[in-house]
Amino acid sequence: MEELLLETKGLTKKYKSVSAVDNVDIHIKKGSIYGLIGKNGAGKTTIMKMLAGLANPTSGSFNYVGFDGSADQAFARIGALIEAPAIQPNLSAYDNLKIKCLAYNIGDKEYIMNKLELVGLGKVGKKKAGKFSLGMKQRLGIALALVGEPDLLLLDEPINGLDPQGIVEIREMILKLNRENGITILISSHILEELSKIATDYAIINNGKIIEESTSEELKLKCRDKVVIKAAETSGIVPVLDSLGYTDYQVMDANTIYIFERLGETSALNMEIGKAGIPIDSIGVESSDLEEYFLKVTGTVGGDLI
Amino acid sequence: MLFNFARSEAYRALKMKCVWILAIVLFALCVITGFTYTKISTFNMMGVEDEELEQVMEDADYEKAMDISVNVDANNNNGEPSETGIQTGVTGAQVDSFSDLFGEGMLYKSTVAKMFKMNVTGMNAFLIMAIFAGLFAGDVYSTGVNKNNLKGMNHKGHVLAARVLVIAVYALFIQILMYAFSALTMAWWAKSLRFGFSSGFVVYFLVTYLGLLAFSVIVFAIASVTRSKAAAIAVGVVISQGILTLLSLAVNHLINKTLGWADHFALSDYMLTANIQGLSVSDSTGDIIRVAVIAAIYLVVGYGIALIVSKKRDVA
Repeated sequence: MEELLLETKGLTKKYKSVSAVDNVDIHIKKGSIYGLIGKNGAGKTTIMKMLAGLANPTSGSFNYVGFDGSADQAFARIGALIEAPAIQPNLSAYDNLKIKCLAYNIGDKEYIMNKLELVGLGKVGKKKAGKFSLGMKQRLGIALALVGEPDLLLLDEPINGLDPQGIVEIREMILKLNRENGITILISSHILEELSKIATDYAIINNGKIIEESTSEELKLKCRDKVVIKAAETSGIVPVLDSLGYTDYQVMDANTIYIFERLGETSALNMEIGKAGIPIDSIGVESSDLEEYFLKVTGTVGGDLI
Repeated sequence: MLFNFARSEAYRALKMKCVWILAIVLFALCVITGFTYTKISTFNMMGVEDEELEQVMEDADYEKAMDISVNVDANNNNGEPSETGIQTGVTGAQVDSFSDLFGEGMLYKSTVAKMFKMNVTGMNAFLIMAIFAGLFAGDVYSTGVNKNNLKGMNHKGHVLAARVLVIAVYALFIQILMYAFSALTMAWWAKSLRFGFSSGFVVYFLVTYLGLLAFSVIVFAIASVTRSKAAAIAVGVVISQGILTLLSLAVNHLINKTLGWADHFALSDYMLTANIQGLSVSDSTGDIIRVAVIAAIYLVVGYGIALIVSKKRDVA
């Protein structure tokens, strides 16, 4: 079993009587890139704020590498870029980092320059951060989050508003931080296609509740073109599939089987199952990408997503 | 941890241009105050002859001289002697020459200590600190800089203390600077430099500093509660410019009228700025202690409010 870096237990945040986050349990493995998927107002940012200590949970807790979430060690080992980057617009990138370095009692000029180099801002000199492009500001926000060598990086919509080149740059930076620096990353994004290129694990959140938590492989499996058989009892269907020579199939639960081959032979398969005297509720080909899958499981119409 | 946070906050403060601009503004205010009290002949305008003024200034301080001039002004319609025995024989209307305006002001032959007192009474430092504390605290909310210091999330009290510490240091810098500017303006306008240093002045300096700090922390607390630098600066400027004192007079009048307290109750007795303005070097120990206690109460209340708000409220 892979080592967990962080897990939440019944994490809840209420604003008066409204639950922004409701009894959330997520499990973030060390070294993973954990994608948090949800529409606007689903509770993604609130979860991140609670994990970063910026908001107090109404109830529930989170455990971080053996420490309780409220311990000093936890917050000192987390870096966060939540909502807009918190930068001083009248200061240079160097000075912005210097403020955080002094608070954390780490780093000298070389340390700060290394961080700036890491995010591609090594040559901005004394240019004021307020005059940076959106992409540069995001990168400065990430550099700020990296001060203190965090084990976990929380990135809330880091590619929002960026042009295609900016998106690619941020994506490559995230992958580099994860692979070369070993930083575990919790990332949220509206751009699911982009998220699917980097995330190793996912949680789908809707109206403050986690609907589904799965690995990238599991999600890809669910998004592949497939024949989906729904039945009250699927155990009798498996011998039929074996006898017909099907090998690429998966029993998802007691009522669902996915078949990923011979998608054009649905009618014949239906007849063979019928001949075996097994009643089925439905059979048909399903195909979806991550976005469609998300819309389906959250019961969201397309327009609500963005 | 407090030390690290304080270093970080001090660095942030030092990078604010207003730190230096406000020092220049303070210099300008001190120059104007100095000119007003050394070069504008207030007593001439009020009808006191130069010889009489000199005599009064020789055996009394300027405050008494001011009292005398007010009495003169009150009586000079009929030219009768005032209670002090000075007969001016002039009226306000007779002061019609522009040259009468300039000359030796009431502090022309006075000390740096008294010029410093006039700068304190003019609320120059309070105005400066209203702007600084508002900008310094308000920046936290306008830039969201708290979001970067996750280490401070479990030590919000330390973060707050670090900020108040920076404000305290800047307030002390401003107080010392104001003394230096008082000396400079005396040397410039009055061509003399008598410091008038005494133990009483040291106490006065410290108590007015405590008042300045308490006021700054109140402005800081307003910024923390409203999360707005504009609101904090606006309230701070209103208080420092005595507008609140005027309002308090109206409120005081209403209280006395509605509750029938005759005129025994004065709201201004409990107001920080009014107490600081009313304080003088020669005040009795009791009066000085009373002002110090009022300043300390304001300081504790301001700090307490800011602390409760920062601990209870989510950062973002």
